[in-house]
Amino acid sequence: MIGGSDFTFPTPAGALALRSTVRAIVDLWPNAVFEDADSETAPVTIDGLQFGTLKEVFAYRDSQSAMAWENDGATAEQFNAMIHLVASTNGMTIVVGDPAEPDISALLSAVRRTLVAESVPALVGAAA
Amino acid sequence: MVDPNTSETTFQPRRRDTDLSALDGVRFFHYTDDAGHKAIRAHPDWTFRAGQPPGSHPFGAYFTTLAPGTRHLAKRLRVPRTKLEYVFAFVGGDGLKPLRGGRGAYVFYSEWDYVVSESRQRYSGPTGEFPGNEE
Repeated sequence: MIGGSDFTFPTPAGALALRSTVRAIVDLWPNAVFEDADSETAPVTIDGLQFGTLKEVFAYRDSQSAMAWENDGATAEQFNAMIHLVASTNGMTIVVGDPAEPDISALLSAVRRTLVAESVPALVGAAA
Repeated sequence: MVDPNTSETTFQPRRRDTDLSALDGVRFFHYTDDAGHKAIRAHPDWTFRAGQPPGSHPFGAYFTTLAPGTRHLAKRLRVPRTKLEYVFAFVGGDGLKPLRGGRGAYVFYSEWDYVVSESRQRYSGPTGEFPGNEE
């Protein structure tokens, strides 16, 4: 009743972490579209996202993948074409299909590097 | 806590060592296909078999607080829509642990086979016929 692999990165960066993760996904998938999990609105490109209120996002490789996921959910053909992001006050969870798939593995490494780099100033800010 | 009258949850992620007795009375759901539905309801007490799910998740029997009609349910659980055809709903979460990470706000599991006695059972059948389902 559950699929995918969950990777949780502790970070106090909050919305900043979500924005950075979305940017890393665009680097991986230039045609990516994003969908607010708490909304019924159609997927949009990164420019259409309202980061201030976002907590849970579905990122699709392209609009065709978004449509396939909407119609069928997780299928073998589209399993690696969607990344699920869940932000919380103290961490970022990234749910992927196959983490061994080269693109996904590269993305997880990029996000880890980015969040570590951003956590340092965020921690300093929190302590100030 | 969860408002059982809506499709959304206001759960905050809980640590594994949190006392979950507060979940008593909360509705939990298990989604499955036709074969799973028939197997689980074969006995008066529902038994959800623990198993190794795909991916990195712990061995166990899995449940969610996301009710039928929840937005993007298949995506949140990352399952095919065919695995959402039937649903079991019950109250009480004795022995259930939240999944580690963000999805722990609505995904829970038992490390062993999980038995739900008749007194805790609320519904089993087609997800589309679940009372209050807006889908």
